[in-house]
Amino acid sequence: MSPGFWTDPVSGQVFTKPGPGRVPLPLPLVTPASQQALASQLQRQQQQTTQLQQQVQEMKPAWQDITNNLKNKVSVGAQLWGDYSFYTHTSYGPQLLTQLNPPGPGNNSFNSFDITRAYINLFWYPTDDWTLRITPNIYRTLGATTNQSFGRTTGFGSDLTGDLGYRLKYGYVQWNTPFKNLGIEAIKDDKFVLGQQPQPLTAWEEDLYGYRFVNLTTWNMSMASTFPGVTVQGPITFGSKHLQYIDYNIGAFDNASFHALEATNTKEVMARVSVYPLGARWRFDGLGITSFYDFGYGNVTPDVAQLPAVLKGPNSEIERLAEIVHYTAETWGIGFEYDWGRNAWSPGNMFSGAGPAEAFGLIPTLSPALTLNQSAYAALANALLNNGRSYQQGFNFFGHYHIPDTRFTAFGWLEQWQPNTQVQSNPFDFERIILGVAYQYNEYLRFAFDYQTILYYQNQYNFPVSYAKTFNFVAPKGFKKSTIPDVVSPDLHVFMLNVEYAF
Amino acid sequence: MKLGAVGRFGLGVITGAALATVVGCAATPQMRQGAAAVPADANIAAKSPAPKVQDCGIVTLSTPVLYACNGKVYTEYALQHLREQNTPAP
Repeated sequence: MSPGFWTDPVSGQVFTKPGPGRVPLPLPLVTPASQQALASQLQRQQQQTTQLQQQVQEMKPAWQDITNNLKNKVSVGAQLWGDYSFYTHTSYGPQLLTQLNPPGPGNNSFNSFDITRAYINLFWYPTDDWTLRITPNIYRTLGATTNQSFGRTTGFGSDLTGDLGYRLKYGYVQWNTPFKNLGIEAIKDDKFVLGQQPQPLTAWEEDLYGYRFVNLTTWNMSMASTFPGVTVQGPITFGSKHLQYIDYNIGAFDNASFHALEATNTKEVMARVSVYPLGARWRFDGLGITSFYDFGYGNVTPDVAQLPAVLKGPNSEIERLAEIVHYTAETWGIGFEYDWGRNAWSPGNMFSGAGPAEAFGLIPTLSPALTLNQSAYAALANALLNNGRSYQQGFNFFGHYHIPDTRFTAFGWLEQWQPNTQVQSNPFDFERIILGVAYQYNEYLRFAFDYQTILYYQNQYNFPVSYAKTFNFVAPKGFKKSTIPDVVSPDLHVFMLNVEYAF
Repeated sequence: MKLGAVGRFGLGVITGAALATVVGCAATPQMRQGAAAVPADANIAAKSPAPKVQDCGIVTLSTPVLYACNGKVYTEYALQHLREQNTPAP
């Protein structure tokens, strides 16, 4: 009798022998046949596991290929500028750095920590022919805001004023090889750029000067550094050493800068040509002579621009010219710049840092008499600087010198600026002086300590209303005086500690 | 406001001229030293010590940041690498 088990279905008992009321109890038994079946199943599973492992290993190189290609085609960079500023004397005037808006006169010892740039630079190079750049940057959100009601009885204050927001600074496509296939060696590196990009002068001059994280360059106080448009640009090289003899950037742009809405049916043309008569081994090497010219129009819609007016004011043609002679070595540099402009310096430029409330259509907290004086002063600024026939002139001298065997570099920027040369004793004439020392911590990090000032050139005086009217001055209602009092702003003085981090 | 007979513009010109003089005069021996220190032979130049960023000129401050040292252009990463490895300039 073969071994087995029996069970009583009623009681559930299990027996080793058959008997009345018992039925056989089938149980799985290990037999040679079942062992063979299990071994075969195990082998099949091992084969499947091996195949799966091979598949995973074959997938890994493909994944590496994607990341390696991404690494070679994508570049990420950043740039941060910050400062601590202590204003021993505050005043009205243009911005010293973008995002800086200290209060006006009467706020001496005002001080602040600031961030004036926080770029994220994203580049994508799908092929050698093309480059895409996207660069968001901060900007100070200042303007009218509305508090928010919430339900029937609740309100919230606005949290918009003063925030540092992000906006698109650069967004362009660059064709790197339009001339490469022509076989002309001299212009093989020249390129076309389409999109929101640096205009030809400012970014170039900032690199030439090297201390934009400390102060603005001259024309950057009048025009934005970035415009939507199309340019052709690049070096022209000659000789076996491929020395650069010419560097140019020519383009057509919107009349509106990157932070304004285009309104015109015309466009703005800008061109910069830098000549290096002795040949340059690198971008600024040696003696250079640079010319820049800009022709554009006020950013108003065509139906407004065509309105008949005695003076076109902000609707006028705009011209900017710069002639720069510069010499750059690796450890020092020097430059002299002459600037000329037409209708290129408005009250918005003059008071981009801080200005009288009346110039912005606001009512100052002053006595009625002083408020009326400020209103007349704001009207004078508009008459002298926004009349459609103003001419600007400026001179500036800049340079830097690396102190040997140290990490320190002395630098300076000296500027004379006349917002309208047509005005005798223009109260808005000023000089701007920046003197400082920079410390290069490493390849990415720099610090600077500097002193900056805006010195209004004229002595304090009262501006004759009769003379102001020759510039289309319109006296505010109730203003009966024959002169506009105290039209020269006090001088501005500030000490700054600046930092730059870039990669 | 004016500073007597000199005037602020005059003061600016004087200060500018002074800075030009300081920079120009101070730079002259540096140029001579540099001209003598940078040999024309590239093989000899390769034995010169690694360039330091503070001794280099700024080519561009946007990404990628580029510096010119001894007539050659380096990325900031390359300069960092040369400094950390203390390797001579290529």
